[in-house]
Amino acid sequence: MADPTTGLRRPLIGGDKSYADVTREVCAPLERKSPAAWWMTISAALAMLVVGVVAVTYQLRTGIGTWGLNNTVGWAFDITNFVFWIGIGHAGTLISAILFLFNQKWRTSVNRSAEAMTLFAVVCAGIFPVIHMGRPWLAHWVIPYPNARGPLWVNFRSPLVWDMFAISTYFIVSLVFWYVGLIPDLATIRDRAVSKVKKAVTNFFSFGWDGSNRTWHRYETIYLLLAGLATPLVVSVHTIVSWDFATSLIPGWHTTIFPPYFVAGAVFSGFAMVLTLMLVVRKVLHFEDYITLHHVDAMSKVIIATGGIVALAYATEFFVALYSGNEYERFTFVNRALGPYAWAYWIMVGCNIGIPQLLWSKKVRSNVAAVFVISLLINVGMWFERFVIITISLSRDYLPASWATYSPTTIEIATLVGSFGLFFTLFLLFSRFLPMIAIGEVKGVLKYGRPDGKEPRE
Amino acid sequence: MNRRLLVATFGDEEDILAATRRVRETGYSIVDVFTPFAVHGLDTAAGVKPTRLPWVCFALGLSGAVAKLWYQIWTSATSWPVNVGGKPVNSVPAFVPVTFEIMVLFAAVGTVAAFLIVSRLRPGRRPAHVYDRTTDDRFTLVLLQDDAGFDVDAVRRLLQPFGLLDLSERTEIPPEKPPRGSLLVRPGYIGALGGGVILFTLLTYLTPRDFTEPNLMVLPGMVRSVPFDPFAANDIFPDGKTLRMPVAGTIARGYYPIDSSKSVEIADEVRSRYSKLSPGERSRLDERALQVFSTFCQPCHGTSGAGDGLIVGHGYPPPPALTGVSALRLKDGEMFNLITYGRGNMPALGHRVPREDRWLAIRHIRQLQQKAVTTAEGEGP
Repeated sequence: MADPTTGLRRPLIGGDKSYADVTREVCAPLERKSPAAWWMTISAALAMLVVGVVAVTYQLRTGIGTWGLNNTVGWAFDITNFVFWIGIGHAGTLISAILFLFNQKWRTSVNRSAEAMTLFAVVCAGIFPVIHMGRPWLAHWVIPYPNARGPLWVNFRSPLVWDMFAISTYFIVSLVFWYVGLIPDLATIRDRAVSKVKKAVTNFFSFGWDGSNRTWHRYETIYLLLAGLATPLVVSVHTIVSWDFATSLIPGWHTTIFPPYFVAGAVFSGFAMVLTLMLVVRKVLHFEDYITLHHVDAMSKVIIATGGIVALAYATEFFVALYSGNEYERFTFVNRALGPYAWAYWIMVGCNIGIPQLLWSKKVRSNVAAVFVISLLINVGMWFERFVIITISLSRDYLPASWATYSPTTIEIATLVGSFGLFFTLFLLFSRFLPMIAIGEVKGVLKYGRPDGKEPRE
Repeated sequence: MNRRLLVATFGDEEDILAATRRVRETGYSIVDVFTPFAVHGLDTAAGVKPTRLPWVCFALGLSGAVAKLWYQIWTSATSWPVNVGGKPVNSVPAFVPVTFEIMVLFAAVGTVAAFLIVSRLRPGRRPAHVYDRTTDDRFTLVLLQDDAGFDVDAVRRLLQPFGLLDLSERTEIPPEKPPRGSLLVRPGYIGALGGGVILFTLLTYLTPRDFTEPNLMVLPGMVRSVPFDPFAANDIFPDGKTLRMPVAGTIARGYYPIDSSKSVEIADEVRSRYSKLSPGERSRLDERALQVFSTFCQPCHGTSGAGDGLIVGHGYPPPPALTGVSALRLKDGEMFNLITYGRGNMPALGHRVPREDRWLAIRHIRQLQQKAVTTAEGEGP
């Protein structure tokens, strides 16, 4: 997309800024008093969080019977939420690791927030399996440590154990990746800090960073290594999540397409969430020059691509059910589209296959409000995708005698609300206390596509 | 020893690159270059040797993977082998996902730790070199004035074309005593922390405890669930009983309803079905019948059903002959019930032999009886 008059590529950052401008503008939200809007949104988020805390406390005291589960549908709302949140997280790693390996320079404006989103989403996701254990005070039993019970080890052949390892590794590696990226920016805040307390705190957390060339050299090396490690990791995490289902024998779950299908769905939903958050952030924090319309455009294209993979996966599932000649498999898919939960299925198809097609139009992609609404609808659709896969498949399996329907109780809905409260609370705190844009990385691409700079060296 | 430094400041990425390259070519010794972001190519320009961190990453990843694979094999196959769904205890393909995760974990966390150690970065460390706006928009080149003939003006002339903003001399005075360090490494702090840990451990051990009592239980409601006594009164149900009758018109799984009023029709239907079987299917049924008979009947009743099985040779009371008169007189249904529920010394086989197999065994016994009767008639006068 070179400019025909100058032969230069389009600049990544708008507004002809100097390095000092970048520092000042990105740090500005941390240095001014919290605006009233921030207090209002964090109050709302905290209220949602309180709802969730009350619900979780009640269900821990009373038991899993407070949920709408029954003998037939043993996994429903909580596992849906778990897979939903884990999926959200994947876009952060995709932006920070995979786009880094593919040298997509535009990622620098959004990677910090996207990685933070990953961390917070994984935190929200982790809550659900732990509550589902029923006796979460024994949650440490999933860790294979030498114990006084034999020692009795975990069953390393179980996908649920793999899941525990995958998600805790994912959280730790994402945290480390994110923090390594933060160190130089914390040093920037330290050097700008006026108050003594802030200086001491940022000095503690910036590890004494001084911008030495030797350190930068090593820093770049480990950043590349971490990106290389995080890329297969992110694919493995949702693959293993999909194995939770695929290794069982429930029609609708027992398919080999699940790993790629889940990974594509995760990236799809994650990018929708990144867009939702970024469109708000650029407006509220005045980052229009950093998160430009080109960023929105690029992310919309990723959504079209991954949404296409998801649509293909839906079609493949139906084709395989037909082609397999397996009556249970065939019934499951007819039941999805026409059974008692057909409304959920058609919400999923509408939001995940129908709505994103609007993004093919350049006009829609450059309309921020439209993209925002589409991203919200995709989030809804992807939540319903997990609900469709998990609940509908379980509710009608082999024996008609054991068929059952499921509907969530108030407690379950309150828990979901609480997880959103936790997510937004963490994100709002992040926006208040840490730079939302990777200052160092943005400075590195500032000259990109400008007449006084030159083409980026690779 | 004090070092005399020359600090040159630039305002642009291109300038610092070109200036560093020129300074190095001219032969000055570069102490370090400080930049607000990673300037590509500056490492080679300043002559920094490539880092060996990738090797650290490789070694850590490899050791993580090997250790975790060994751990999984050891816990699953050696320490306490548990049969899970009849799968081999040492199912290596199932150990791949966790091995992979731990490899990534070790490699990622270990590499970052190694990076922090070699770069001497740690929480609370004060930056060793402080130059104005290094973390904002200034690029600083620090040279060592390594001999008395060091000409500052020559350097200034050399750097002027690269947009030099400022050139100043500095004397680096090595600290007389080691820096106080962060809160975490102060001796007093470590002492207080260590003392606290020791005190806590001592208190924990010295607190009198009763080991026969269970530990403190959090939310015990779910640890001890309270089921109803099956025979106790229960006001939840209208009839006041805890035990429930099956719902009308239902059958418990595993039970087979028999409508005795239609036994003749059923027998007719079975006979007509049997007559339609192909010879191959019939011989398969015969084989199965023989297999069932030799597994469950033959040890006591003998190969020919004469009541002379293996167990008789071991001193067990001989069972009745299947070819005897009383057995000949038994109807199929009676024989079926006898096999199902047992009688006298004969055990009940209903729960061990499937329904179809019991009928097949009866069929085999009938054939044996036929043979015995024919032989007896042949031997007769």
